[in-house]
Amino acid sequence: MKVTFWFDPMCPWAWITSRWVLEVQKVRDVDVNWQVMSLGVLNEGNDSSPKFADMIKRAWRPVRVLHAAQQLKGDEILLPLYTAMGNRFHLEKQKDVDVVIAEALAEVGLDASLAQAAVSTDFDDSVRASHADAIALSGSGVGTPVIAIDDLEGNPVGFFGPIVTPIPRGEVAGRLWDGFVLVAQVPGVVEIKRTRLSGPEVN
Amino acid sequence: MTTSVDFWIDPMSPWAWTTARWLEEVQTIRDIKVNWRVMCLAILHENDETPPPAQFQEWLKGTWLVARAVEAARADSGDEAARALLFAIGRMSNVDRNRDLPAVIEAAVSECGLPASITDAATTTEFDAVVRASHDAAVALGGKDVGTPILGIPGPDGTAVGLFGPVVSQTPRGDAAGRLWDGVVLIAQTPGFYELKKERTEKVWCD
Repeated sequence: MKVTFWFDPMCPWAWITSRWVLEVQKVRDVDVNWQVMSLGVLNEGNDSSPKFADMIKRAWRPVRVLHAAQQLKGDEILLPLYTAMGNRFHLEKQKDVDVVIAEALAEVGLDASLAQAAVSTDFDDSVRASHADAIALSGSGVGTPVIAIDDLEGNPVGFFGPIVTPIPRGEVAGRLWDGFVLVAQVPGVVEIKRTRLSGPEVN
Repeated sequence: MTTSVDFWIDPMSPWAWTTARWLEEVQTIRDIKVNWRVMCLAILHENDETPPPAQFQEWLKGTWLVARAVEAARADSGDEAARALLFAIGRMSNVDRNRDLPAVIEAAVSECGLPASITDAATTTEFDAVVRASHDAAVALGGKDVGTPILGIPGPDGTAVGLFGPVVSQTPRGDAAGRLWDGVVLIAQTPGFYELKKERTEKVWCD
């Protein structure tokens, strides 16, 4: 089954869901098209606190670099570069976005000069277009990640989530996938939710 | 083995009504038994940080009448009577769009063959504690920052987890109803599942 998965590499919940998708690939026949969405775009106009505004501003940097890499190397570079960034953001708790970008580029064998994209607006239109593809399916009032599959009539359906912690592994991951597909393919489904009782456990 | 599920609903919510109708359908195609319980939109909005608009507040008061009537029916004639009254009020409000709530309650009580004392009980505080206890049980399971309906369904270790929803803009029937049920069961059994959502761009369709 073909899946499109839009992520912002700085979001810990999207990280968990992305690692779940990788687990699903071990136990189900799933072909993932990884794409970028943006916390910066999602939170435009939200200046609830200076700290948050600063985080959102920094969140533009990695997605610009991801798009610079995508333009150079194609879609296939997105997952390895996301993984290299995410390991640093979420597992190593590296707070310096520029360090994350530099190390991640090196890890996947990309030229260090791609980091310059982080502070340029050259890729903003491209990031916005990719983000808009996600939001066209999930609606704008949600968050990252957005995951999309085809419904039974072949039309794309997309949702925010599934938000889950910890990362489901093995057959548990497979069963959540089966449940997601069943639910997502029923016309009219918009939401299933519980109050979040714990924060994201990223490993 | 029959799966027992709890379903808490404020039948005045059209978005909860579509889910209730789905669950009715699921009962005919999967081996489940639903315990139909009440929750109350007025209680959900009691602790709003910004008070709702005056017109909505007035409407919310009506949700108390409905919940009280359903619990009065339960006390008088049992769970099946409560279920029947809940669905009669929900149908008249959401499908027939009758906005005269006292008239709806009176007609629904009559349709269900229940005594007129049920209608009277809706305007007293006699069943408020019972309504609150039922509502609190829903919130204890599903969480405070969600809404109605709450589905209490066996979780990863067999004990119940509470899910808000599944929220549906139209009621799935037949095979689609069954697939949604199967999917919800799998999701509920995933440890730490919290959310799957899209924006409500479609209008809700009640039938």
